[in-house]
Amino acid sequence: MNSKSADEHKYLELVSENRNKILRVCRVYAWNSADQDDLYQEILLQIWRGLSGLKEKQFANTWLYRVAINTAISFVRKRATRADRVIHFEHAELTRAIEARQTTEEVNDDRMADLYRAIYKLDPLEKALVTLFLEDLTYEQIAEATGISANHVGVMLHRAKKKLSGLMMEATK
Amino acid sequence: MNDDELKNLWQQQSLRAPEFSPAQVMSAIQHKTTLLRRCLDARDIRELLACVIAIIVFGFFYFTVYREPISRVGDLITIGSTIFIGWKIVHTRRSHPPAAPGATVVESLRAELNSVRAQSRLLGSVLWWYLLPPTIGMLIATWGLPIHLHGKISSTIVFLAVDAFVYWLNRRARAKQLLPVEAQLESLLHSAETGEPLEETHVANLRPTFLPMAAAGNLEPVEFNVAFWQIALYGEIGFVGFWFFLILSLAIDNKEWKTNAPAAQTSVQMITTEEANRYSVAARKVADLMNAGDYAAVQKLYDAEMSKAFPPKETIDFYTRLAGFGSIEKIQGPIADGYHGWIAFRLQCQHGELTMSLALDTDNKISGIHFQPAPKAPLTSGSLIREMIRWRHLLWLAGFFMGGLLYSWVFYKITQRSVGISALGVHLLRVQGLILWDEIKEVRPLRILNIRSLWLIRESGEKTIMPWSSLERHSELKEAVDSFAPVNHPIRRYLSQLKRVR
Repeated sequence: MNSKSADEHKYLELVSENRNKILRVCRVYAWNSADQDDLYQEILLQIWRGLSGLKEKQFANTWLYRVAINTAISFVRKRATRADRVIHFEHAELTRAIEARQTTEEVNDDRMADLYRAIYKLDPLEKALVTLFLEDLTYEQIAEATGISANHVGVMLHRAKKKLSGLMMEATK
Repeated sequence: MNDDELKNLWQQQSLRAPEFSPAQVMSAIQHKTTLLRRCLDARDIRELLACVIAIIVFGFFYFTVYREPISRVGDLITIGSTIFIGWKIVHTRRSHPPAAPGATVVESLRAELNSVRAQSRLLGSVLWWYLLPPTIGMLIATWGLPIHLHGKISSTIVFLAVDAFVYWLNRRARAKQLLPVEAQLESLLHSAETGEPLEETHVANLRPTFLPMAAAGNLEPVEFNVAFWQIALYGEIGFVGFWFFLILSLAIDNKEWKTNAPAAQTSVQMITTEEANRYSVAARKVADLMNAGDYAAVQKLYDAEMSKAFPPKETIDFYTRLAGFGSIEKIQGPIADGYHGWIAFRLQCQHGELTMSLALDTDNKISGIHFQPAPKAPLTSGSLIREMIRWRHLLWLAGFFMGGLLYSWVFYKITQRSVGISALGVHLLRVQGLILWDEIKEVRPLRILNIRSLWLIRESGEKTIMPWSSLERHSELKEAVDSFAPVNHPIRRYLSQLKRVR
């Protein structure tokens, strides 16, 4: 196997193993399906560009979150300067999807919708911390992924979780 | 819900599968990487291309048009400035690269902030590195030219006006685009480094605006264009203005047409009637022979010294060249002192006027003859207007008028959908974005000629201009504002300015 196809193989393996993680990050930062697809592609592009910087596979998890979160924050900032910043239908789409479903997952979907509604109201850094926390990373791993000191991660995450729970309670009322 | 339940819910959420296969992703990424590289190269190439064009243009001036040493120094300064500008832009961009994809959030934000700060500094100091050096070069080149003072002054005014406009544009772009981004990045970085909460004012627009479901159907804006004739009104004023000043400067600088010397009057030299007759006969004889094309016979009118100095061949060659003025239709004179104080006659030829100065010896032989194009009438406002409206210039006017229409048409096409009205607010050109109805705290009119625009003013005092009476389809505009603008919104006060509709 030559170097190029080895890289391609490594890349495809990494992407398929972590596809759901990437999709969840996309869903946090992009508010409609078109934006989610754009962000997904953008993250895959950055993973491909930075692949040579990933030395050991054991560090892939944190490395991948770094790439995804960085790309997502940059994506949100760029979108924020565009004219379509307000036309985000996710809330409406989500609500419509929930209303349309009559399955046993209905209750979970409802809670999920509340969680996303609350997450959307966080700022980009809080979103990053909450996402990584929900992805089950430790404070040290979050600190490593974001470059924020572990102490600050604790403080900021505590504040973000408090805000999140308040927003979720507000949404369920 | 506790942390574990929340994490559990998060991990089990159903996700929409992306619509790409691994192979498609690979191919799309490679394509995108190529595009990115092309895009980066294209930006550098654009700067280098601008340098090359400036070198070619001013190099051409240096070697051909402007031979005066001072002008050439100006050309060299302009070329040097352009190279410096190209280098500075490319150097600044390359010395602030984005963070590597695997960088931490903090590293990535810092790299982005450095890049934005560098751009902001570049735009803030645009006067010193972008505008002043080439302007100094062009001013030296212009003032070193042997052209009329009017031309120098008007060129200087144009250069300074263009500089002022470019300076204003850059300051505006810095204030509207870069400084808010800089503040936003600083705020994010500060929060990440200190753990303190973000400053809300800088990050408010990073969140989506939530809309009630009921509003979803009214989000698509009703779009309006600025009417073609409204754009053409300004376009034509501009283009016809260009024509006017161009022709004015050409007319003033036209040395062949005007002179500051007084018009030739009757002879200032006191000569007797007899002398005048003697010269008139000789002049008539020369003119008749010239009209007959018998240049050898003219040579025979020369005295010995003249004949020696101008043998038949040279004389024939000389008069053949002079024949370009056409046949002589009228002789006036003697009119004034001519060349070397000789007696001058005005020759009205088919294609212009000549002043012929004659010197005769006592045998009525020509001991000196001199021709020069006759000076024209002095510069007066009447003669200036007559010169400006010559058919040749009017032909140019037609070209400029058509140019104005073409420009207006292009402008009309690129400003299509210039304003949209929806339940959200006023959608302006993409770069300006959307202003929500609630964000508009005050509306003030702005009238230029018969066209009214509106200033949409936010609480922060930020003003955005919106075309109003120049928009097409006033009845539909009225209807859109009526349907979507909140009751008592200040924009409603200006509905009466729209054309009355049936």
